[in-house]
Amino acid sequence: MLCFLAISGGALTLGMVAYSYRATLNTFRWTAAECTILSSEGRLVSQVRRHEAPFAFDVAYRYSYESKPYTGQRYRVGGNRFWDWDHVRSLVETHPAGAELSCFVNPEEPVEAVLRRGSLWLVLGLFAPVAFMAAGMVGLRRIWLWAGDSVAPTSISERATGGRRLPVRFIICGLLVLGGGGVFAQLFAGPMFDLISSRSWEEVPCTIEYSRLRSQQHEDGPSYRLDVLYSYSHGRGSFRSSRHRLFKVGYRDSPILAERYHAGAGAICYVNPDNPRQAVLDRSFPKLILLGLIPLGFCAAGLVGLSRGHRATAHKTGSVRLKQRTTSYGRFFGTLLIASAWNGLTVAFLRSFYTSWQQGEADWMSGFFMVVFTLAGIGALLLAGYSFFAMFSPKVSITLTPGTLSLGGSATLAWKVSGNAAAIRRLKTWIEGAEEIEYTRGTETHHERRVFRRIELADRQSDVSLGTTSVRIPADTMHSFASKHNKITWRVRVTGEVRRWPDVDEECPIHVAPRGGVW
Amino acid sequence: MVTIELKDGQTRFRAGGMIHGSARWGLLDPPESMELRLFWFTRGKGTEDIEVIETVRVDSPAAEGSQSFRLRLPVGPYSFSGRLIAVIWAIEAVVKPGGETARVEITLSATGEEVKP
Repeated sequence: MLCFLAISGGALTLGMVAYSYRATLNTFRWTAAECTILSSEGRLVSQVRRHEAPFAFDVAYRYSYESKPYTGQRYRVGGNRFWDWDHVRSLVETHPAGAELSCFVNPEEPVEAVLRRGSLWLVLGLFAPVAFMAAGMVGLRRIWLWAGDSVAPTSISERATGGRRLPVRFIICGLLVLGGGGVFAQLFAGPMFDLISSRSWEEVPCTIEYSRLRSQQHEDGPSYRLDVLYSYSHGRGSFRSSRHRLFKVGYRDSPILAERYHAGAGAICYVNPDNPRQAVLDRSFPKLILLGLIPLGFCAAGLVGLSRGHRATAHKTGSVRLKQRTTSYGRFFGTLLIASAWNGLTVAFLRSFYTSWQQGEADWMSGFFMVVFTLAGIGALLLAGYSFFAMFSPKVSITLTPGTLSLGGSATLAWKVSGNAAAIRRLKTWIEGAEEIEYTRGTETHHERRVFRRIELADRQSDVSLGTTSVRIPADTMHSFASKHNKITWRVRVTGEVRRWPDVDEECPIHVAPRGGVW
Repeated sequence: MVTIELKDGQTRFRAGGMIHGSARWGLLDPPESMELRLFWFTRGKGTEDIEVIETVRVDSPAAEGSQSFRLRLPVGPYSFSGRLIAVIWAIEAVVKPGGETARVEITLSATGEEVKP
């Protein structure tokens, strides 16, 4: 059923996207021709309708098709109007009169031509529905093949060699890294760079040539966006810009702004002295732009996924300072992120529920769920608070010499407590080996862990700040092992009871090799 | 019919050791190929993982025949039987097409005995 839904949903979405972009898609079948620009200029459109872009790129070009001359004026299928004056200006600069460029001619109607075809970003828009359809087809094929087998295959090794598998995890993680990184760069990193560099921009008087307030209705009231064009002088040049703010999103303009920036008004703009074409009216920083950090989480998740594919087999003979599985800072920021996201959503639902309750439309079931969500949110906040204080607990660094243990082998483990070691009442260290598995039930993936061996190392109630102990891994136990869904892991554990403060609890993975070799 | 015989019937091996044996088959028609595979796989509550370590391939064999083999065992992973995971070594002879299979499970570890937690 899921496969059919994926295929049909993907096909429907693909059809809708393709239909809406059909005119743009058609231009990819048009023939390239040599064109000569006759004229090009940017213009502020005098009569602008409500949802029309105010800036026009007026261009004329000459081309020939099948030995017949033609004149074109269209820049792209979507027309010659733009929301950003800087973009129009750059088009004028890249399409000067006399320039010889390529244009694209409709072979069925040669009077139709454009200078620019559709954006390649369109391909990404088609990617998602195609991916859904492909996933559904793969699923159907697997079901078909499984149903066709009257007897399950007897060869176990054949399951490992039955066709090359796509490195799906690497593809997905790679997409997360590229997509998340790209969106983060676009929404946050790039604008933040502009924000920082704009602090050194010069204040210059400017004149508002045009302004228009566009409105859009939302559930909690209308929002406004200001379109503006202003001119200024810097050095020996005169310039125009339509850049109101450094960030494109995160603001809610108000009608007061339209009065302040009405046509003919004087204002102060901030001009980049190194590139006077760059200017902005408002350098403020909207708090909503912090949402641009979210794609960084996706990028980080992708990097973690890619790094986990690397199997650590290095055999270290010298001393090695062990790395913790998770740091206290990581735990704090992780719990804070989860608590913030959860409580952010819960507050939004609570507001909606409160509105319904005020109007007498709330039901007890919604109220019950709100109580549960709120309690969970409070729990998450408390956990984040605990993690915050845990960041200031004493820290234990552990060194193992040699860095890799093998079955039947021994090493020296040394620990050092930094911070308030005197606060630790009791410090215990041990090594544990565990089986870890991953399995799927239905659509959910489950993980289980079971410790099969625990080797006590030290248990101190005094003089805990420094210490060494010898470690010996029994010869008759299992070495470290890792496959895709099954692992045997070994860890050094350190716990410290701290009076009236979060306890010390550290885990450091170690590698235990088979006797006489590294696997 | 396909069978695998290990030298002296030995099924317990030390890591890094050698396995000697032979595969015999008797089929109605000559197969396209016969493959001998040394591999390990997991069994238990977790999703199965499999890794083929070495493959000996015989192309266009006769309908009846035998193939001796010598395979070097790696240092790991050891054969292991825990509560959640079991790691099992085996040698398989697979005939293609048809998929007729013979399999012998062996034990690999430092001592030749399966490791139990």
